[in-house]
Amino acid sequence: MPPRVRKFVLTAHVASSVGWLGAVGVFLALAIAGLTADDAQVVRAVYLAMDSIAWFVLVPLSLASLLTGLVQALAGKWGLFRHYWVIVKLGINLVASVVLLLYMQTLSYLAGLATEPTLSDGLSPVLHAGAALLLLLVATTLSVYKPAGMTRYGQRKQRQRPGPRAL
Amino acid sequence: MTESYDDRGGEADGEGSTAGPPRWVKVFGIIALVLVVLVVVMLLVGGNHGPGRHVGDGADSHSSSSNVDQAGAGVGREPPAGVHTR
Repeated sequence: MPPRVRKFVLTAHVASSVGWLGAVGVFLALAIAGLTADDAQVVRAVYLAMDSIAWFVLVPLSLASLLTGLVQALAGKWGLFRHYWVIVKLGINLVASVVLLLYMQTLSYLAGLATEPTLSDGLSPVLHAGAALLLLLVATTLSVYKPAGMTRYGQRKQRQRPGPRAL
Repeated sequence: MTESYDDRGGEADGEGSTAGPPRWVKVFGIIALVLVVLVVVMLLVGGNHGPGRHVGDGADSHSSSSNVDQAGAGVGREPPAGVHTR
């Protein structure tokens, strides 16, 4: 991959991944506000906002993060299955994206029922957003620290060709 | 950021080339396994988790759905297609 394209993809991946993390933080704050609010109008506003944030920010950023991460890994020097930290990050990204997409149906329905002041499932968005925040923090940490560890496939590839530093 | 990739790449390759998965991978694997088991247990015990849990076919899904209708919120709302089949 040409250096310019590589930097562009890397920038897009970092921006979408960190943006996703921040958006989940906002989502969690709203979910807590919706859980603790007594005013039905506040709850309604919060759930409607959460629905919009999820559809127009969380879902696009999660898909962008996944896509740019795949391109970065496959077209770059790290590979997709050579290093454990890349595999773990891919797993986290896939799980978080799939759960988010599955949860969108629930969230849209909750937004539809948002005028109910005693919404019985108010804890659900908090739990899901909290778990997502934790997962994305782990993924971000892995990206920065890149803990050592090469898979057998990666070791084989390394023996066959010059290492990543030379690529 | 790219420079740090290069630096860490050299170290990572060297350390991981002689043995099996490093300790942190095993710890991550154990944590992931525990979480998966936890979710499965919650699914089996609770039996009411998943994207369709809120989408009611009336009486069993949302205990206070009558309140919603009284408030006018649930009127005209249909559950997402193909979500809840219980």
